[in-house]
Amino acid sequence: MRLKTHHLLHVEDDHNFAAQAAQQARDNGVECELAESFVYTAQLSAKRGGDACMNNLDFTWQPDLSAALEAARQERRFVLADFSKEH
Amino acid sequence: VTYPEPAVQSFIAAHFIAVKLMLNNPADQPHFRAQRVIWTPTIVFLDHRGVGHYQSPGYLPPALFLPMLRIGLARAQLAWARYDEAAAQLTAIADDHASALAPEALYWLGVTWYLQSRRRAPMMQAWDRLRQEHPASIWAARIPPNQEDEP
Repeated sequence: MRLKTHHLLHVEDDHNFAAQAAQQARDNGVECELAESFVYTAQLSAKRGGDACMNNLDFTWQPDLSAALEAARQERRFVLADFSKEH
Repeated sequence: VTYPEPAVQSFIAAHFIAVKLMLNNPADQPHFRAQRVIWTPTIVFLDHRGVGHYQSPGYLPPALFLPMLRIGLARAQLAWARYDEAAAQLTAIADDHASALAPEALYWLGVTWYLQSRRRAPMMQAWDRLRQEHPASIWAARIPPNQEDEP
């Protein structure tokens, strides 16, 4: 399985975080590529980039609605809320 | 089923903050009531204040899920007067004549152009196209008669 994240940062701390998450994914047998085509400056995006590799998706699910709304405010984005039910 | 689709993933990563709210989780249940969600799954597009601007109930395959994401995004952008961004999303769907969501996209494209310009002519440009390309659509039926006679 080959994964990508579009959230690699150039800020050193964030880069380290993303790189560590990628390495952890590789250690778990997942090929994780950190794409540099999208460069964000927010720490939040860096964390999401690292998490994305771990979750097999290009994006990550926020832990709760409050966190999602705050991230949306910071990044001037909208929230995609998936109202679901565990079966 | 739909989220692993690469095009869906990258669109969500590029445009949204994503969150899953589970009916089984007591902490999430008030959000179902607040957003008037009565069926799962339902996708709701919210702004950072928690105001919902568009809902899509039920499952959709990727070929329909992606244009639905564009319409939901456009509806939220429209509410925040981000007209150019909304028009770009809606045009992408409208130009795909085979898309089942093209009529809805054309309808809201007309609304977008009206709100942006406060003129009927740009709105009618989109709505005329809607009537010509999708005459049997319910979205074409939503256009009031004789709109072209007004300034």
